[in-house]
Amino acid sequence: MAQLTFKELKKVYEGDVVAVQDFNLKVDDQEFIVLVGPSGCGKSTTLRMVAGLEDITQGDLYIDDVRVNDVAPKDRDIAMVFQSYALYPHMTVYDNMAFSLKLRKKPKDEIDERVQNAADILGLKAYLDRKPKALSGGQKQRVALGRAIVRDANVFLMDEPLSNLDAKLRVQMRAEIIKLHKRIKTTTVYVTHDQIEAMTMADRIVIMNDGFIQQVGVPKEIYDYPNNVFVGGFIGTPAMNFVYGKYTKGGFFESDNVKVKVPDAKAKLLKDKGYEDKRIILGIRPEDIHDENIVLETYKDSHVKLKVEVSELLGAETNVYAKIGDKEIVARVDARDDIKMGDELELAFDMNKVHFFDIDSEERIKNN
Amino acid sequence: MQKLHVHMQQASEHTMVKALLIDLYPSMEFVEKTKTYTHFTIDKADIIELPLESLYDLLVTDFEMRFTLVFHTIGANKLIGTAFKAHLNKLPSGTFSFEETLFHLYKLNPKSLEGIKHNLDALITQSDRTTLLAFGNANMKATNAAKRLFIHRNTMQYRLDHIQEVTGIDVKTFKGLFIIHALQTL
Repeated sequence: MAQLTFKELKKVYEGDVVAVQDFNLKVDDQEFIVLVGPSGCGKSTTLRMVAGLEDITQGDLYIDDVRVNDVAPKDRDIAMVFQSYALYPHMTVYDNMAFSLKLRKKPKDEIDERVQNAADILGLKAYLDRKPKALSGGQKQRVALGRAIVRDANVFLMDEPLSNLDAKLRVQMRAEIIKLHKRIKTTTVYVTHDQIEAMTMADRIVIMNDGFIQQVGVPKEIYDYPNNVFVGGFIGTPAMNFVYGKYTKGGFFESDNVKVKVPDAKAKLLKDKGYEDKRIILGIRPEDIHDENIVLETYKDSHVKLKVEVSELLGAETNVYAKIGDKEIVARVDARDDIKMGDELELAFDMNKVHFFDIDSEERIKNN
Repeated sequence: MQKLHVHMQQASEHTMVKALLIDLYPSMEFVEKTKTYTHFTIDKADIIELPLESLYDLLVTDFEMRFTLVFHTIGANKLIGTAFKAHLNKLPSGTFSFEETLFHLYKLNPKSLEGIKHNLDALITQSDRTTLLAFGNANMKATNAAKRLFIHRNTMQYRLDHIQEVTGIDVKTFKGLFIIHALQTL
């Protein structure tokens, strides 16, 4: 078990391409931390720096109290799981799991004990004599996890381990990895571009973009209080809606065909921060836009009239797409309401749930 | 069977690595091996079962050191000559196609590729240069390039494939076309 500390970590590739910068983070012992962000945001580079596969250009990386910038990968006591199943095709499941221990010249009894134990945890006991060819995708991924578990390492690094699996299996493996972590409690850094994996698996999420950390927090905090437009738009499906408009002196937010009353507390914040009569961005999640009569009655001064462009029935709910100005907006409403393309709808914004963002910095406007 | 050449640089010596390669790829033949460098060939069909990217993942996780793998077709041998292994140390840990490798080395220091440029000049003809120029000017659209040269599209494809056969550089990729132009203008 171990703690990881990143201090001002920076990675610059040749041609002055900055992959990661200002990376400050403390990963607690036994924590499951997920680095998430779009392709090229620097998350895999960060993971590879922890593994020792990339040089650190600047800054310090500590495993517990030891600075490991110049420590060889084999002396970092880290186990990695990659996206590819990475199994030896000519070896049995048992030998695949035992191989790294044999390389380390561990005694036979110990190897057997560790492999049997990992196989037990992962439900692979019946497959130990099989070769990878005779395994399903999920089983192969479990063997890949087993290869990491037998190492009994201080830190697990997982680089998009589920991306090769189909959607159904991915959901299943997600749960299995969480269960596994609860059982063996090894500090884990998990990289993914899938925000659902991040939300469902992480103790804490680190959202990255363009080499910078955008926000670190527990999933609920990230979802409910995004630091900026990027985080708001990245986490959540469908994404948060952003309406560009103006905050007026009367306490209203006004845009093309939108005029909604800003609740007192938020109005005071906008006034105090000097946003009166200035352009700002309103962010609202699709589920905070309502069509129920009771909500329309309650929020009389936050109604919006929209013409439905697309209506997607998902079963329990319907995603309704419309436009405010030239920006698309999506509301998630109850599927029992029969909404068709071209319908004129009156919806209410739950203004207590909206966020306001600065139009230039795109940072959320909040109390200091 | 088409052969693939693989150059492998490992951070430190480990005798098991070479033994493992023999087990993993039945068609494997060594071309050159030193303590930390291995040049071998395998049948292309062999990498279907274990792609080189997966081999890299396995080596890195089990041997816990940096590995650099570069692969190319037989045509590249005449282009790179015998001094290629010196370049491998300049690449990061990972798996690289020939085009990516040259592109990477060019970004680091174009002058380091002067030997390769010299070999390229001897390998490609004036007609190849015209083909490359037309293909580049047509934004890598073979049909448009063929029209400009008043040749059939298939002839254009044939000529581009021929260049890859001779040089090992797949000029139908962005990095391949970029690097073959860059090498000519060094």
